[in-house]
Amino acid sequence: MPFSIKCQTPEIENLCKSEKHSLSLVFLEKQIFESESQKDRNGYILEKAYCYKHQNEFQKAAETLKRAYPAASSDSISYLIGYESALCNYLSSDYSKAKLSLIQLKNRFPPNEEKIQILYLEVLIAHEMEQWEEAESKILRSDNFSDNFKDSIKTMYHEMEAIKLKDPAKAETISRFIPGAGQMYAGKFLRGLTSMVIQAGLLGFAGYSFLNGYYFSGTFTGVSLFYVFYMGGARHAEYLAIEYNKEKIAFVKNKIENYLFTHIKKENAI
Amino acid sequence: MNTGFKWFYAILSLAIYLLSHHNSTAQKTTYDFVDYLYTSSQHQHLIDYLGFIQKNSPNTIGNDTVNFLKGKSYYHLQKHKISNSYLRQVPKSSISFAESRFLMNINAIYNKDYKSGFSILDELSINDSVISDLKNFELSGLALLNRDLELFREYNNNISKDYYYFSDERATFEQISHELADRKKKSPWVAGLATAIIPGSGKFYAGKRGQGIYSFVISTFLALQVWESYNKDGIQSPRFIIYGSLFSLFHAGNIWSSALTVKNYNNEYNEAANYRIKMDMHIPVRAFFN
Repeated sequence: MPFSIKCQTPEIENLCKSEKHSLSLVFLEKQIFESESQKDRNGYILEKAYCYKHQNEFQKAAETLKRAYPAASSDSISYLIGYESALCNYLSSDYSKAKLSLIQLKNRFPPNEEKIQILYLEVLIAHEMEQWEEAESKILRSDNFSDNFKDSIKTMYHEMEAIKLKDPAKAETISRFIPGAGQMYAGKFLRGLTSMVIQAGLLGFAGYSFLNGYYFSGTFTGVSLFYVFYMGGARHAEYLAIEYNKEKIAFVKNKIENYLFTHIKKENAI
Repeated sequence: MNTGFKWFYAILSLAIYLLSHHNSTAQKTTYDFVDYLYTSSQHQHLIDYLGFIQKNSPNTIGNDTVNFLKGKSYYHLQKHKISNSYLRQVPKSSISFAESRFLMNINAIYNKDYKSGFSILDELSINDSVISDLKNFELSGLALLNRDLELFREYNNNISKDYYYFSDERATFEQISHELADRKKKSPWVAGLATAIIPGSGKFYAGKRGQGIYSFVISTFLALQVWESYNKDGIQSPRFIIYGSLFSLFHAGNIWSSALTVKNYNNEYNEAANYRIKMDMHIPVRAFFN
């Protein structure tokens, strides 16, 4: 996300520009400390958050913004505090806090004043929380997009809906009935085949040992090792199904987000 | 009378001028900000700010104060070595000397240096009985960390009064000293030998019952297969050689791991005891100086 730091104090801005971030943070804190009104304090808090954001310290930026009292500032600063708080929480992977910040921001401003950035962020947060329907309806309900754009997005969300997810519990159960088949169901045919061959080999060894009177070898090598591979194989099948689902979802999610980012870039260029 | 009044007026005006133009306002702001950063636990900011002040206006805050505050901030950030490099520079004449030496000792023990605390605390003069008792308490903790129970008793007896800020911790020290005195150290050799005779028994001896049972069961399974292959195919059969080698490898590994388990058991015990001692040395210093 592009952004720039525009400080109220030129000295601090120079420190920021010369990459002396730790000192600029201290002087911004000094400004916060010396501020006589909450309005001024809010301004410096926002600058400090930008400074942290510039260093990719998103969690610290979000924590700094928590110290602000947006109601004391003008609408534009109040909006920035709320938006940056949501954005920094999103960037630090704290999606529920990001969503909460956005709800608080939307409560402060009437719906007609809602900016397009809020919508983008809402969609991205909904994606991270796997709330696909909510993300889709937000884009489709917005007046900021063309019909063509909406159609393309709609197709992509349909693609997301059409993904045939593998049931991890089913993968485990299948492997319990036919060893190795669960891995095949989870999309890993070769792994399933290897597991099947090893377990068949161990059972064969156990049978051969029993037939030839090697009861201890048959039990403790053949049956015991078979049991270990059998149980482990079933758990592995479950894990593979979970990974398969993640991979498929991530593919379509990235596709939608890339499309969205391309649109944002075009909009910004205009 | 008139001349006297003029003089009085001139001196009063000069005093008002000096007071209003004196840089105490600027100094107060600097000190206030330093105090604000410290009390709001913004330790990294405080270190950066003090560094800036030292570089750009060195006379604003005294060097001793800067060294002490930097040392204490690094101590809060748990950067013990750097903290001590600043605290060491606090001179005897400083009001913060005693605190700096106690903090240096705490930094040293958290750096697993249990020896230098003795010489650090030795620098403290014993004019104040409270400081003297706190010093003896800390020295008794150091003696425990060094497992010198006689020295512990000596320092513990030197404490003249059971102050509230270390009475609980002192009781814990006494309890730990009894535990250490009563404790029979386990030997890795005994564990290894026990496992060599009965597989898994060394781990049992080290207090890892589950691991002991597991080792015993696996060893028995392998031994039964060795016996079976020897009985059916003889000593030169590939089956006997394979199972025999597997059993030997597993048994040797078991002996080695039993000895290691005892070593780990001793280490874990010592680490747990040291953790309690360090905590109990730390808490009274924090309580006393805060």
